[in-house]
Amino acid sequence: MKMLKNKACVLLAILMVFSSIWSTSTTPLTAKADDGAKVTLKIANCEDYIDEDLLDAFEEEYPNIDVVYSTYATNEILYNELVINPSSYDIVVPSEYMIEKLAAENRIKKLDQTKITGYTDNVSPFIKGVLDNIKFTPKNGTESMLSEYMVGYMWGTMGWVYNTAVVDVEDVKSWSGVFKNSKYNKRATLKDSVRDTYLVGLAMTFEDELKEIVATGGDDMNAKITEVLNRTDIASIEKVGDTLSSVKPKLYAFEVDSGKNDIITGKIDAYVAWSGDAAYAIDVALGYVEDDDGSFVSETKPLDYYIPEEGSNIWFDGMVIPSASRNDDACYKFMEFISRPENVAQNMNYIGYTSMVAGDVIYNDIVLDWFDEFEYYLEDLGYDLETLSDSDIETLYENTTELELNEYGYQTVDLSYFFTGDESGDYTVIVSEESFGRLMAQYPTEEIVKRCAVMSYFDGDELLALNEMWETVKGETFPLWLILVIFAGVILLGAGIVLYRNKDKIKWLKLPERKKTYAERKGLKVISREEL
Amino acid sequence: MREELKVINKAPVVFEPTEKKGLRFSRKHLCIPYGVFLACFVVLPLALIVFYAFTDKDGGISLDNFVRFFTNTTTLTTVIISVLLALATTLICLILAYPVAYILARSNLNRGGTLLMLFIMPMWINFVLRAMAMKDLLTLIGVFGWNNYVNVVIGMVYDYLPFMILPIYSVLSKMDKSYLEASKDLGANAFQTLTRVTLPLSMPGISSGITMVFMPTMTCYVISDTFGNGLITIVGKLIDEQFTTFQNWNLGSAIALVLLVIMLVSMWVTGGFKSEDIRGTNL
Repeated sequence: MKMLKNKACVLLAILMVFSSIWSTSTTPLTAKADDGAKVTLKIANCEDYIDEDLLDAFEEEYPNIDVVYSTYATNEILYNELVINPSSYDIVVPSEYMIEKLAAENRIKKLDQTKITGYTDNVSPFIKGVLDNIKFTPKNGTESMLSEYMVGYMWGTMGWVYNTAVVDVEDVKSWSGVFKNSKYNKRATLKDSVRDTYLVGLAMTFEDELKEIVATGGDDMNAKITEVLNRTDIASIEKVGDTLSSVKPKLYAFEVDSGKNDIITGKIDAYVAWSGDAAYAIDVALGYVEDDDGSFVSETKPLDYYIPEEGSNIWFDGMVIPSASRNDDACYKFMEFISRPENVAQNMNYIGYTSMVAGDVIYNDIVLDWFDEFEYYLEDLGYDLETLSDSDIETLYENTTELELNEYGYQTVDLSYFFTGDESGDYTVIVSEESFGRLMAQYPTEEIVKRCAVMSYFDGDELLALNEMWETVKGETFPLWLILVIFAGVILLGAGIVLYRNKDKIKWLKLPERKKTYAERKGLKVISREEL
Repeated sequence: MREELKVINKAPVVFEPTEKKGLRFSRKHLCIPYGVFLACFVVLPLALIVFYAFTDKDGGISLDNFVRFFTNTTTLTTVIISVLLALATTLICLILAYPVAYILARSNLNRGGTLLMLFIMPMWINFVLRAMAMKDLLTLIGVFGWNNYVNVVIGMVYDYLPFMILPIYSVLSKMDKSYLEASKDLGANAFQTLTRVTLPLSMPGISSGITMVFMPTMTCYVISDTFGNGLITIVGKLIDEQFTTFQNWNLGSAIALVLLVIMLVSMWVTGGFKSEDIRGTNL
């Protein structure tokens, strides 16, 4: 009876703990923003992916919204969190493939775009077009466009960041070039992330095919490249696995965050980078970035960014609302706030990635302010900028031809495709040859972007096959006989130890008993000579 | 000695309360919080791992995960490499830690544990941070990058050395000095004293040190990633990738379960279950 009581006690305690966990996690968030009560808005984002001053500014503007900000490491970890606890966040910022997966599984809401006019008015028409093109059918739903589920945040590409003092630019014009030149043996890295490295592997495996597509051009070029860079049939996966395995011995590392530091400190000469990291690495290496104590990083390394010509990846991160969120009103307010051009400029200034929001504010405050080098060109010509007024510069600009610019190593880059969606030529920027790669890290030209493919998400059997390929590439594989020999050896050793420890208990292991001596048999007492 | 203890244990309990009414607080109830903790954070997760390991994505019972694990030469090789790395780490830790623990336990300098503190202090710093710092230090000296396996072993030894020193130290410092005097009286030289008296008496510390170094090094992929430049995969990394990258909780759980069984078997084989060996030397 006493035992029973104790057990009941324990059970009761367990039940209480569980019920309290249960009740806190399932309490519906019924509070509405407009009834005056404080609303908690739970936002999750990648590490260092927002200027947190903007969160304070948002709270100041909407005093009855309380922002709780947290971070996660990868899209996949975010997915796990949303599966385990769908109401853990109100706004999250996954990448396009994860948004597609989440939307297809009905884990996020379709958005009412009319509530975020700040975004819809200013979003780059080009980006909007790409997102509209990503169509899928959610479970029990009708075909939808990805853009209906997300408010665009940042976007970018993938390419080589390389040290121009060591690496020949011809070698980074293709993904495989770096690995063909023995000069960079153990001096280059790939991403320790299966999607990114698989894309690089596909581009290396089908290099000739891709180059032919690019050479042919045409309106369906991007579609063809996208097809190649999304191949997941077993034969392709095997080929890519072989390619990557042959490249692995030439690598310095598989990395996700140490690459940018390793190239700045000179441990490596080239690394596969996401565009925002590329911009960061180039700036730090040139000493443009202020250290925490206000001093400038002094070490100078000429780094540049190149998106290989056979094609690369283009990715988009967007803000989405999980289905279980009950704070729509506050969510829309936040998304509208973060998409205002002046806030976008502040955010970009802080994180260094490129926003999907276009518009004149971005063009003037970011593109021209950061990249335009027309004034350097004038200095090269011998003008004294102190003596020139703004209207003088304007007149000089009007009268400068492209040929004159080229003569001094400058060129006009047309970004109208991003800002207006056409080729009006209204949004251009003048950069020197040295700064071209840096501009491409944030605002690639239309020509480059057309060679970049969106990679869809992998699931089911193709994910299993990818998993197997990735394990084989990342790990070592001993021949089967060696594995069997090792396992047999270990088992024998274990059995030996067990037998040895129990040697007294096992009859057949005991040595035959020593034969009794004559004296023992007769029960005689044996005495030694001394005693005698 | 043992006989005496048994006699004492058999003696009648003096403080047995004579009458009990309802739920009365007794010392036993102090265990309830721990019991609840154990149920929530050890038993329940373990049950979940077992559940996931024996089911497939749709929740049906299946052994596919184990079949996949044991028929894939790469995963088996990964297990072998993890064990070899862990063995090397443990051995080097033991060789380095024993003399240190011995000196610490004997030295007069260690009055009040000052010297011990110096050895243990690195444990107070976050180990990822320590790993990064060590990597930079090795790069500075120029050792880093010779061989990734050597790098990983260096990193693991560096991070887990205190876990070997502490248990050996605690056994050696509690050892009765009169044993040493007796051994000297009986004519043993210093070496004989070490091998015949000190070493056998410190076996509990050594075995708990081995357990505490060997097991985590099998799965501690932060160090293998940092020091191996992502080019070396150990079992822990396999499990992590199944859960995070490939969303295959079932296979991840199966690998975790296999690892658990390997650990249990190796502990059983080496006799780690014998309670007399532990004698409060575990941390």
